[in-house]
Amino acid sequence: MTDPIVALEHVSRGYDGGRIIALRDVTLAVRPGEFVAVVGPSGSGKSTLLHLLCGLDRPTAGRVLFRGTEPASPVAWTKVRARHVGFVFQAFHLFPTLTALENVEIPMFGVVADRAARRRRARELLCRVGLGRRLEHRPAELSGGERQRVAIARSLANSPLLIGADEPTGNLDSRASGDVLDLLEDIQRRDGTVLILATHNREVASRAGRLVELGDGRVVSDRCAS
Amino acid sequence: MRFVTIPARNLSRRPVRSLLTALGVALAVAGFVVLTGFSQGMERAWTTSLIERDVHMTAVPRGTVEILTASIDESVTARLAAVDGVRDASAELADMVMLPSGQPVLAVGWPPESFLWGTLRLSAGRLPAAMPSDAAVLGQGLAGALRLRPGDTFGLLGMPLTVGAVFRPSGVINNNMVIVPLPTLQRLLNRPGKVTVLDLRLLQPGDPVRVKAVQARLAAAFPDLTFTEARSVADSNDILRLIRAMAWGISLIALAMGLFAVLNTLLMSVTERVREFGVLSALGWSPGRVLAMVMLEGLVLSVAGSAAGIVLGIGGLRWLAQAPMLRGLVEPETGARLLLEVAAVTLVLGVAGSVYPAARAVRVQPVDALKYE
Repeated sequence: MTDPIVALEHVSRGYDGGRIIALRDVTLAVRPGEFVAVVGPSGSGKSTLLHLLCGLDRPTAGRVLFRGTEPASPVAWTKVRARHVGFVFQAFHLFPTLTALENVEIPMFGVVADRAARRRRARELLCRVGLGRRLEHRPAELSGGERQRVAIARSLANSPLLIGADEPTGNLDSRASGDVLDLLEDIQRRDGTVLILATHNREVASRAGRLVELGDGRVVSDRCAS
Repeated sequence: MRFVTIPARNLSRRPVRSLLTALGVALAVAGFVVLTGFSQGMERAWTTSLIERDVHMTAVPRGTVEILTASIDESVTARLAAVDGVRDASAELADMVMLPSGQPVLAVGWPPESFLWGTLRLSAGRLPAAMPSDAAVLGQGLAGALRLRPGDTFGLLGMPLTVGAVFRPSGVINNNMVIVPLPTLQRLLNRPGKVTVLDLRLLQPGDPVRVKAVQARLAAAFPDLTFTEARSVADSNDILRLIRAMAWGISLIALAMGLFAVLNTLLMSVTERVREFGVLSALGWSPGRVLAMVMLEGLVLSVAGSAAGIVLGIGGLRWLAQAPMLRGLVEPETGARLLLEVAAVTLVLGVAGSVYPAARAVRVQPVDALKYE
């Protein structure tokens, strides 16, 4: 069995000085090439788990290991996110004053030094997600589905090992949702990238190879999807 | 995309706010340029007025604050000229007087035998061997403003004078000067036998050691007088020092207002964009990169404002120099020194105004962006 890309060891996450516990004593490992859907009702801790797996948040107890080691500081986690993690937000979070091309270039600052190389890579990625003719459009000039495609292209900018997606279809109609999920699935299959998707939608989750179900901050079940 | 594109686009998101902030900086910098340029110009005008007359050293009564009110016995001149190392000495009586037209001018009286007459570069007329008591020599600027030529007459403190010659100086003070024989001005100002300053030419003005030695000898021989080298006369003039201090004081207030304009704008901008900073952090931007982006926004604002402020300030300075009450006293100073000071001020405004907002932006965590989901 291959070594995990990311692993949680007895991780808990509390807020307000421990009065609210979002995640309790979770142990979980995600290995290369996996497509994991994190499911559960609202408030079950899906997003918190996803944020911890992607290095966006720190646990209040336990350890988060990335490729076998625990990044020692917030700066070390920043480097991990820059080079190995892509993230797709439900609300896209594109920069309104930048074009699609420029939005995709953003994560490459500090990773790819050459300006022309950044531009070339951004163009390639936007072509890959089917937006080759929308390179110079700003987010306000794109549909919801197109914006999420730009966000997916952005998440791929530095060829990550892991992509986290928090309700990526939450703001999309059913047709755009299908397109976005097809795209994410295609990326996961072709590139062998780990895809971790948090959703409350069972239909969306059914596409994943592994289902992690949460309830009240605990892992209720962790199984291969049938 | 270049890195600088990102802060530039962020500023373009709220163009009116960015423009108003830059305008605030522009006004602050313009105030700085006008006030500092005014004081530096005044210093330069005084220094030039002496240097172009070939004066190496001046003497005024010890403790003098305002040179025009100083009073020295004219007879001291001959004793000064006898000191070892001194080539010539000339008495000079000067005062600001109002012409019948309402224009203030610097009226100066020189003894008929003074070496100072020989330093004038005449553009019209000539200097007679013996200056008649009612003759006057005018700076070219003043002659032009009053439309006077050699042979014309005009009134000074109620006395009709005839223009003997017009001279072409390089400094503004001399350019707007009326020079008459010393006894005439002493009579007009009712100060018989008195002068305001003594001008000295030295035998070896280019040798700093010897100049210092002569200065020491003079100070020892005339303890009631203060001797100042012409090139540093501005530094030792209390009035000019006071003007310089006031210019800096007022400039600092204006600049502080400019700084707060930048600070306020960036702080508002950072508060509005918390989500974006969280996203940038989530995408792997280091704290240093976020800091650089916000500080660049501050620098772009202050550089744009400063550029406009320099143009405004130079315009204001030129207008001020032409104002009737100041014409002939101020030479607008917009040289490299002032531009360097503005560049330093711009840097301080940009950095100081953005450091706190940038520090706040750096503190935003990726999860702060997700709270808005």
